[in-house]
Amino acid sequence: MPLKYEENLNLIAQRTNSSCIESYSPREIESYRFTFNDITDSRNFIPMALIDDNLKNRCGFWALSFNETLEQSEESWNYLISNRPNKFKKIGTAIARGLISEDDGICNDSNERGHFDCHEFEETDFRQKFQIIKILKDDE
Amino acid sequence: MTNSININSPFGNLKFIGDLLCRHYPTTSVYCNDENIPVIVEWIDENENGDDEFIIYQSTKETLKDFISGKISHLDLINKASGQFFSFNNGLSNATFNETNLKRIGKRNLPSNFSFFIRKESLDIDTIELVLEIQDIQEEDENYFEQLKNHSREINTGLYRIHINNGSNVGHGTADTKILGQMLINFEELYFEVAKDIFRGAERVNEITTIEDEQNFILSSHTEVVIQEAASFSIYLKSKGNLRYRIHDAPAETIIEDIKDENVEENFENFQFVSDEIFSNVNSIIKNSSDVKSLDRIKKSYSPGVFAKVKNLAETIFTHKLVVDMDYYNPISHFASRRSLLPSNAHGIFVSVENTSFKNIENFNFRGKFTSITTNTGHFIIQSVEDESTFSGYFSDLLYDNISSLNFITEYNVVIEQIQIDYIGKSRTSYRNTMVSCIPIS
Repeated sequence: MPLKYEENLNLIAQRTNSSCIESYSPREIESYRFTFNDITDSRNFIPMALIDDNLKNRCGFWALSFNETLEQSEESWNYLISNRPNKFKKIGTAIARGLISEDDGICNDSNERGHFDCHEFEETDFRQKFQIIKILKDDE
Repeated sequence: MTNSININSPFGNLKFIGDLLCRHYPTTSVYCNDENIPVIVEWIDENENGDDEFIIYQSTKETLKDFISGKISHLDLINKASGQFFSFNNGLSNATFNETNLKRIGKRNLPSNFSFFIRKESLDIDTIELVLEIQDIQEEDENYFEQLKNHSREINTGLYRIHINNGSNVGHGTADTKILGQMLINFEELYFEVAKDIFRGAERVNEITTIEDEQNFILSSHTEVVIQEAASFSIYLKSKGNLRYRIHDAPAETIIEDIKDENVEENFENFQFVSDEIFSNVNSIIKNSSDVKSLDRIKKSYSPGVFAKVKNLAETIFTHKLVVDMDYYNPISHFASRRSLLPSNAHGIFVSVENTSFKNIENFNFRGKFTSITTNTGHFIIQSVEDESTFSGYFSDLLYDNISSLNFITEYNVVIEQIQIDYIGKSRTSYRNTMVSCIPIS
């Protein structure tokens, strides 16, 4: 199945002469992600490369960020907000939980903080698979 | 470097080096100008039109290095900018720069005072250190440790040196009375709690029954200041008691290396002196409290009082941005221990202790009626029809899927799983309720 942002990844691969998704593979895993308080919000499952032009040349930013547990996700959100109190406007104000299946995309291994990236397949719509489980801040 | 395009800025032509923070949601990027001086771009806000707002400022390699090593906070990094701040919107290329200042930028747009650098949160730290040549090379100062050994030999007893070598209002041979006083009281209280654990156990169940034991405890659980030295500011402490466990042949010198061998400290059991064990435990607790994972491993080995005191000590250190070395040497047993504590480590200890807890699970079965159900979060409030007590919490995943079938009229037989959480560093208990069963009564 083609990836949602395959063209962009191919451009990076051509420029760098290497594929940046070689270590990625399908996973089935319960996962947590920052979202806005309404799960249907169009900003919820957009890769950072589409939000910030400066990041479009970096492969990892075409993937979506997830954590393995609620605690890890909350810890990460708290660190970001302590570093930049307004960052919630970009990253979201809630945590949603959902099951990523092997049909959804390819993921890398989780790091020691339980974080992993997922490059979605073209047809994937995570808004259908995730539910808000914790509101961290009221939407402004 | 990931991008070698030259960008015109008030600080000269810039080249992008890398994103310093945060790994998955960048906020802080580092550039350098033609003179290889670091120039930093910080995302600060998104305005009403959806434009990203940034500030740019020039820093120094030394300041950036201090931030990366944990000596100063992110806000200090910004406050120590060399020269003006400029703001711009959206991308850096073709940006229009407007001179600004921190007052105009506003507190709300800046990091909190205690937001420190976390290496794992940095995507390009290795590149940044390499390009700017600011790698932190730890050099062991053996001469300085030798000084502690010499003093210990002169007095012929174990000495613990608290060396404040950096921080607000600490200079060569001077230290604010308030900061030093607070630091010493925090340390003494931690020492006392650790001693109590050794004499009475972490559960504090062992009674001290004889007068001799009581005297030993009183003397061994306190320290006294024996030397003060200008360097920047050092205080040497010794235990008021010099209690020996049993006669040993002096072992070969055992320096407990803090960082090089993670297992040495935990494996060392043959303490000759009670004070060796107390000082060793103090340093071990400090080492293992800086992240939640390692704190979780040791939380049952010490009493909650110990963690409350280590939290206070950590708070003093990061609040006053102190860089502290805490070294111990006993010339008779040759036991040694070394520890360094930076404001960032101290902040890590404070946060870890705040967030570490013991959990107890209890189930409540009763008949009740819902008084509130929030469908988008799965939150409920239910009142018992038997004794009118109320419980609030969240539905389990399974029940959440059927949330639409619930109502406020029907009585339900429910089971609520209550997790009681006792935080180790404070006398606060919180409860988390999850409804795991909900059967309508027909």
